[in-house]
Amino acid sequence: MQQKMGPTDEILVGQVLDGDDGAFNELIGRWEKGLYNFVYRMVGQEDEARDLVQETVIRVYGRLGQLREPAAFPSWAFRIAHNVVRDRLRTRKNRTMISTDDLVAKGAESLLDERIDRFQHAPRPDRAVYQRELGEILSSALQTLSEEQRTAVVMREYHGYSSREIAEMFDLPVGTVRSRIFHGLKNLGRVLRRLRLEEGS
Amino acid sequence: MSSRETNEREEQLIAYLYGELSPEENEAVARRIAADAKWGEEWKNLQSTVGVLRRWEDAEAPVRHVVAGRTLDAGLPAAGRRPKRAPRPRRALWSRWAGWSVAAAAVLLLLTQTEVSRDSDGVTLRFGRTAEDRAPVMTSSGAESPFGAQGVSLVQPVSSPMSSYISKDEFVQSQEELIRFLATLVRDSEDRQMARWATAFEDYAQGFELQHEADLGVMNQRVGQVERSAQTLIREIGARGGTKEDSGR
Repeated sequence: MQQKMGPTDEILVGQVLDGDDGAFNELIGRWEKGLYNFVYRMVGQEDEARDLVQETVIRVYGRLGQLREPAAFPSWAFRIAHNVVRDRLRTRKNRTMISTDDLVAKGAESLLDERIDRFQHAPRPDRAVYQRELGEILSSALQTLSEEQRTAVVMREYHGYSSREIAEMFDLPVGTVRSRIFHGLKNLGRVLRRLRLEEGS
Repeated sequence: MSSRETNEREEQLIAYLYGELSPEENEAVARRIAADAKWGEEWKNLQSTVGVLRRWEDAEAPVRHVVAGRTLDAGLPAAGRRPKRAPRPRRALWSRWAGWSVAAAAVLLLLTQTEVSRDSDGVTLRFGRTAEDRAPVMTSSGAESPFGAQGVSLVQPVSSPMSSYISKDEFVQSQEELIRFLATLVRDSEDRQMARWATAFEDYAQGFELQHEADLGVMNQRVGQVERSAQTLIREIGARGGTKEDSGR
């Protein structure tokens, strides 16, 4: 995990606790993009991700005084984001009246197949549109995974946390984390098998 | 292949994929991939999947959260109290009170039951309740005394008109007050816990309601899709029915 030049996270945390809100703005500004992308990849919807990031930032601000190791701010903030997402996903799961988890996953797979078809046959737009459409496909694909597999894959693949770091964050054996990543990638490979990306896209 | 071997293969491949192995372990996995068809197939699938995932770049966060005053921007509610450093662990109030009480009692006891006198033998400290218990504990005088030529002698005990300054009844009363104080602390703690539960339930209910609205939105979208598909189907059936009629004439 690379950090921008300037005061360390540890110093900024101390400044925030001394009453410097500007330090919090700088601190959260460093990690907001990562938090947003983590949350979006976990829930698959932009509007929902926006709400959850807002909630995460509020919790981070309110609980900063409880952070025991200021140098570990990034992983602590990601842990809070994960808890916020987990609470939302559990609420969503409890409210599902239409189908069981398997049917929901199958629904997501058929939606994903439609999106892949559109993506494959649509004229190639500019890079921003391409990234948005690809993001929609991959976020749909991630929704077919269990929450545990999705967390492990997203943290490892997109946020650079090692298997050991993920294991420490969530108090799991390293082997369990690697197993979740393996099965998550395997399941993703299955649902993305029809997706063919051009070289250099 | 046993499940243990399967698990080992899966974990090793992931560690190999993300560079989490030692150089020797890396070489061992590379040899397995080259020699074992199952290892090779799994490795190829992982690479292919990860290749697709890595095309997806991070998006910019749509909203920039900034603390201004006591609120976060974008019309968000106040973030609550400014974060404070966690207080250093302090001893419970009652234990500090008890400690000070004991210290104060000891000082009073010492002052009220101690007699200091100076005579040719040096400085004499006498303490205790009754005049009968005056066996000297320590005397020290003379040049070799640690207290110098004057010396100090400690004898036990000495009668004092204020020997009952802290009586048994007063001690019992102070203990009762301490117990009442502790009971108040426990009640306050329970009240705070109840308030926390109430807040937690409120948050849960609010989240529940928000999710209900979101779910209704999704359901309406799906119903709309089904309706549009049905209308398309009806139009197609109608068009085919018209064509057959024309050809039959």
